[in-house]
Amino acid sequence: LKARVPEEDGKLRKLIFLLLVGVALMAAPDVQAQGGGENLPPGVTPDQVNVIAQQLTCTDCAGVPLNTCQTEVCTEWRQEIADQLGDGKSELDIMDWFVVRYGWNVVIGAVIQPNGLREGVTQDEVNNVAKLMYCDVCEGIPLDACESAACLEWRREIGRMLGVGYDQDQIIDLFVERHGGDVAALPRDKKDLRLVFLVPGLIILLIGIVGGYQVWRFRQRGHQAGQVVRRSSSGPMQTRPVPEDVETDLIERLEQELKGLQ
Amino acid sequence: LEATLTAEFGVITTALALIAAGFALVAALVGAQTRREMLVQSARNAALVTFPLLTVACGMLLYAMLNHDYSIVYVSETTDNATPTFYLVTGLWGGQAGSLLFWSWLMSAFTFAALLINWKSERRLMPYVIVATMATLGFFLTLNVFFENPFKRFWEIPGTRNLTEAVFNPGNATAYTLPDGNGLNPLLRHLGMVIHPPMLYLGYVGFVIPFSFAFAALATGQLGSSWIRATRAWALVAWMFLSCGLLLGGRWAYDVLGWGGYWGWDPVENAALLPWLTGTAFLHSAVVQDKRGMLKFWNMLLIIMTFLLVILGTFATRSGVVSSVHAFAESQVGRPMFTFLALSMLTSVILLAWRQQRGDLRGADELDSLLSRESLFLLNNWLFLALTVVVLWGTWAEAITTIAADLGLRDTVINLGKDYYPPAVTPLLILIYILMGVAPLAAWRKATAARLGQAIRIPILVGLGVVVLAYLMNLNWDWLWVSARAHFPESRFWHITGDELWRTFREVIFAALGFGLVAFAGTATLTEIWKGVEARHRRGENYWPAFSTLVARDRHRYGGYFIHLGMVVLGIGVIGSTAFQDTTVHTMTPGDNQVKLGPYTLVHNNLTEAQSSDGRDMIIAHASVYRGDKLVDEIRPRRDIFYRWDPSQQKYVAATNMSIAGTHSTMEGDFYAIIRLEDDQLVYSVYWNPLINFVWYGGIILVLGTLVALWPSRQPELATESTLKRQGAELEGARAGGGR
Repeated sequence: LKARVPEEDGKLRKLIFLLLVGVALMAAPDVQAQGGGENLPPGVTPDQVNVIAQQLTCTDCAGVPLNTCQTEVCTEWRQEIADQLGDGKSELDIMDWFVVRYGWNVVIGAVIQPNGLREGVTQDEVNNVAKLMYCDVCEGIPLDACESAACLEWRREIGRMLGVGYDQDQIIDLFVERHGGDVAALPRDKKDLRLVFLVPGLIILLIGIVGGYQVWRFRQRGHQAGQVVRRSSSGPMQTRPVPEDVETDLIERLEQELKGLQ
Repeated sequence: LEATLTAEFGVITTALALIAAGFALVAALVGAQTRREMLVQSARNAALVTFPLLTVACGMLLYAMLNHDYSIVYVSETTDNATPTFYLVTGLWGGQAGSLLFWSWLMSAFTFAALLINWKSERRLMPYVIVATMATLGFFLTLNVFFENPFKRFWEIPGTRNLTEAVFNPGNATAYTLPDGNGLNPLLRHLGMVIHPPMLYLGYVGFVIPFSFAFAALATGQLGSSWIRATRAWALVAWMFLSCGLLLGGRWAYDVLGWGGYWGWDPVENAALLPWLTGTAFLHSAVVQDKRGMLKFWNMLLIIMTFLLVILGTFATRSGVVSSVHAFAESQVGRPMFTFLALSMLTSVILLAWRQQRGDLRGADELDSLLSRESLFLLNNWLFLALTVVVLWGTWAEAITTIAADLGLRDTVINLGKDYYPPAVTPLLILIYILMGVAPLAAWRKATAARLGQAIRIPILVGLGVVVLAYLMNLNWDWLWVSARAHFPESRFWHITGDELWRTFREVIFAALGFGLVAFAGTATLTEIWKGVEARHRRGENYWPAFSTLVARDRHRYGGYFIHLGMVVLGIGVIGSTAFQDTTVHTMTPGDNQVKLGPYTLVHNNLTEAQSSDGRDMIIAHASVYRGDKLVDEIRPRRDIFYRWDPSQQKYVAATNMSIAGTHSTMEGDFYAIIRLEDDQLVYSVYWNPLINFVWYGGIILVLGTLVALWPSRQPELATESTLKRQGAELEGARAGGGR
């Protein structure tokens, strides 16, 4: 800065000073909003915490975003957010964690429909995810069609996740992670998915090769000379021309033997 | 009859049937090997007697059910005092032990019929037919007698309050009769379920007979065309029953399971589909062997595969290895059934390999043209086999990968749901439909592309016309809306983007192509029938007599064409109901009691409760269906709640509930609604299933076609005699007229 600003220009120096102060003041509310008090795990920034905190309100101070609240509960919740971020959890996971524990009331602006779904989420959307899944107890019935209490609970969970912002793939992945691969209608792992179609494909190819070879042989046989063929099961036997390299004696002997048999 | 006598009669007759089957097997084998006719006759009589014995056994069980004899464990598990008499009968196949007995009874009935019908015509094969049928029957009866005995009773041991279950009195216990039973699974209380399992069993069991003939042909070396003729009729009977079973199962699922569909690629559904696929392949290739003397080895392989798939399907349903809504509970029969499957496979493969190695299965295997009918039939067989592989893998992937994981070969288990099937199956089905159109028009032996092209010209034109028509019809906004909604559910606020619109058009195009394809196959079949009718008409016959004579003269062929037409109609239903199905779920609230879907609007009116005479509670929704402003129907979807007696609580408790759909059904499609209660809120699941009824119409045509193919033809001797007389007279006439 010294190099760029001439020493005699005091006004400019003042201006820059004021700008720096302004920037510092603008940053100040954020520092305040982060609330302080919580210990940030390594790699977690206050901004990351605030992105989530500003969407939530604690149960004691309804409506006041977590990032602006200084109560003990809010500080604890911010700490929870920071800890979960430190554990590598995503924003959606953390939001879902709070909704599971405290209900939709803790999400600022969440409007809940009579069917328990957040506004903007429909039962059809829930079912469109559910139909790609199976619960791990009901035998082979897709989740959207199953009427057991467990499946109903899972559909509610899907509805909640859609409300938090998960997409179809994220939801299925989460369920697979929690309940195992049987939950999804198709394997989520790319290698397994390839294997699923590769196995029948290869078997069919193998059958095709064997079948193709067989057809080729049938075609060859159709052109072979000297072969006795039956044109139909009930029809007479017919012969193809005898090849020239077959000895006449042999043919005569065979014909005589055949006559003897007749 | 006293309760004790009923059970004891059942036990004795089942055991006697097992002994008779065992004797028949040994006597037939020894008789055939040592050429002792008396032994073979004795084996035949023993095999025949299994049928009346098992009829008595089944009759006893049925009698016990109708009389609520709860001293028998099986009766108490499958019936109760509230079950209506009509459904008491279904208890016979409603549980593991009873259904095994029912299986055995049907098996003995088929054997009985086969021995009576084919004894003279296939005399040399019959000893080994007895061996194969009695080995299978004996195995199932062994399961019945030693593992799953339906006549097991409750016994009370004096001095204790414990009840024990045993066939015979364990010491000095006394027989105990429960006051009421558990009752049949309510899901089975449906007309479709009364007919569906017997049909499936008839299909399964029916395929044992063609297998037995094939086995006998392999064992005796009588590999000419006679076994295939005897086998074809039996295979067709079995195939028809299996088709009926599959269709009725679909109808049951549609009516009772409440998911708006008829086919869910469930492992047990697949288990029944697999032998149907190989059976279909066999019925086609058997024609080639009959006409051209080709494919002997292939036919043997197909019928053996069909039998093994029947046993595999039975194993899947009863072992608990695959999980399914249709499967019986896990039981002890899995291991012996697997052993039987392995032994059957080993024996068949060894016999087949031995005959093949000796060159006995070599027929006139030559192809003159790749476009000949036999070539196309061969391709058709390959496609059916490919379908079998795809479905088999989809059904057994979980079991296979579990074994692989147990052996340390894999880390994960692959479980395939219904999403696996459409991409894997559709290309093969397309090719099968193409062949269904082309193959009947191709000539045997010598066929050229030009001649075939000429024959399929009209079907292709009709198919293309239908593609264009279907595409244009589907472009009206309603259809587009339905299709787009079905394919882009993720659009939360429902805005169709340009890309989505294009993809929707693409879907419509695919559906239109599908309709075009079935139209092509249907027109090709109709063209072939028309050619025959027209030829007779030119000779002076009216159209209807020409048609009926044509069909009567070659029932096999024209029955087959009717089956193809059935498949065409069924295809229309499948395409319509899958490509354009739409569904929505709606929670009814006081201010919001309408659901709009497809061309209809459902208005929920009110909810009432009722109780049925069989003790179930019913929650009935009353709803009006409007098309535009016009009221077209009143529907009443309902939930039935079934109760059972709980001894621990000493009261009836809600055991199961079932959804009965309310449907407004037209040719255009079904507007189908089911209800459920969630947290005291009424939730409607509504489906719009366009063209779905074509599935059932197609099924009916298919069964009628099979009946035509099965109907016995006139005696060939008489026909030949009359033909000869006529030809002779014609020849004389020609000579008298100077000849040509």
